[in-house]
Amino acid sequence: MSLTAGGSISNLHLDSQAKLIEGLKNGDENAVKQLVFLYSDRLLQVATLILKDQYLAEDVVQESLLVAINKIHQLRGDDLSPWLYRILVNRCRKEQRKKPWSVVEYLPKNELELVPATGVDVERDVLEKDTDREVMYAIAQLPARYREVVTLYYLEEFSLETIAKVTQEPLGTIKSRLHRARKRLQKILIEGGFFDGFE
Amino acid sequence: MDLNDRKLKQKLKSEIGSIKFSSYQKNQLAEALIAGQKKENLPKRAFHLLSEFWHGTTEIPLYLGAIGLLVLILGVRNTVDIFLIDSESAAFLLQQTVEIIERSGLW
Repeated sequence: MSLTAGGSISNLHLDSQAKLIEGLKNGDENAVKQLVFLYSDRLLQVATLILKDQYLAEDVVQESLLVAINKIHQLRGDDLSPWLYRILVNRCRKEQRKKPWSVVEYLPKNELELVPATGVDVERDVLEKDTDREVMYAIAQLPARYREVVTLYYLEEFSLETIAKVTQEPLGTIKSRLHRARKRLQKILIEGGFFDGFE
Repeated sequence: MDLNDRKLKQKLKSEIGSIKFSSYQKNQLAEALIAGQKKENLPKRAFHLLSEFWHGTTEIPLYLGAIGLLVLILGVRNTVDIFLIDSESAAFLLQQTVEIIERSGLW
């Protein structure tokens, strides 16, 4: 892998996860850079949806990647992705335990304009009549455990089995959570007049 | 996957697409991780290891925890001291007890 003067990756020779893992295990700096360029955005998006706070999510992604790099020897097999998300979800849960009161009440779309525009996090950003983010706003209304499942299912398109592995929950629990989360999402989106595509 | 699921996925992805690290942030992140990795590989002192373990399981600062534990140990020790007696007193009490039992004719 070669790097440009600015430090961005111009050519990725580590073309498989196995090579990436091997590089990380050997302490290869280019492998670390590749990991960041391949996964950081996706991890950030997942953490932002779960935590409802982009700035906090950025910190959590950094911590998660550091944990992953330092514990790469504990990874069994070549399936890096679920393992990374598992670390991320655990870090998100840890952050949520610190401020369990962060859940907000749902506001219908016509009340969004009444909310003062002070937003720095996604939740507030969405509340600031950012009407292009209806689904994100609806997900923000869900309980934390539902947000995890919905995010991994709709954004990362993980199978239910993979979500069970990532969240360390039984498959049946994941199925029921997804079912309930869907129903709630549907209700929020329809009531808010955001999304009329549901039957 | 039904139509609604597909719609939802598409919409969510388009909504969240703008949330990402800039190239500059990614480079900074990579640098920080490499520095963190090097630091992690350095031999650790016992206190650092203890601190790492402690903060991996609890939010209470290590110093505060250590002070709390010390207070607890001192408290328990002072309480237990009340019940502790020296060997001469113990022998005397034992002898008296035996004599009382002998005199009572129970033994």
